[in-house]
Amino acid sequence: MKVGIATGASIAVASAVVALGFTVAIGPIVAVVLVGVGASMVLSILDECYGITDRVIVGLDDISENIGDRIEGVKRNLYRNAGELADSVFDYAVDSAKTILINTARHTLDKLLSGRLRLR
Amino acid sequence: MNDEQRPPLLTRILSGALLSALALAALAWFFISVTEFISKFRLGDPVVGFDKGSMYMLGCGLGLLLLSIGGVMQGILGLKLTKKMDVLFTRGLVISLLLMFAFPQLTHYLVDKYAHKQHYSICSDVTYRWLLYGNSITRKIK
Repeated sequence: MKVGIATGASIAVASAVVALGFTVAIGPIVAVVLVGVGASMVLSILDECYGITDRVIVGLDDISENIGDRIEGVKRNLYRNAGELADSVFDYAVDSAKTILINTARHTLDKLLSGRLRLR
Repeated sequence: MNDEQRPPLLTRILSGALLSALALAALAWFFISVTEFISKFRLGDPVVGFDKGSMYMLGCGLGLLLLSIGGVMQGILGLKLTKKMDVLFTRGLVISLLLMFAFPQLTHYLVDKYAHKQHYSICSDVTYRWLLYGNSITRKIK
């Protein structure tokens, strides 16, 4: 980022020299070097004063930690939902089996009872 | 440059102002830093910081000052540079470039020697360097 800002400042100042119509041949290139080095100094001082690089590093660490926590949360939710789904499917199967068994038993009993009555 | 090809006057004025502002800022940074440094040494401050970065600002400020003077002369006042002036500007710009890279190294060496003479030692824990930029802190040995 520092290099980008320093390059931008150099280009801006070289453009200013050209815009002024300064005819000395080495003018723009000297402007680029002077401002490039000067801007690097200023940026490193600002970085040192405000700890911008350290803050960016801490921010990136926080973001990566948050992403890790979120992935863990999504995993946990997924496992819980899958477990709940499996439980409900199992309960439904047990209930269905119960219903089928009761219906079959009732039907068989009805059949048996109605046959005996007919024999008499 | 023909008048038709020249940028508008406002652009030229803003360009001149930008160059002048940068030159003055660089020179102000250099002189403030040097004054502070010398006064701390002279007052015998127990901890003295040498800001090597500000030493680059002498050459930088002089070069930008030359560019802004030349730019204002040609771009705003409409004066034409004579051959002699052209040569002087070129030499001045080359000297400012050389000064920008040589002066910090020279001052660093001289300050180091002088600090040792005055019984100061370098605190390596708080001395740092980023590419060309360096900052060394010296502490007086009691």
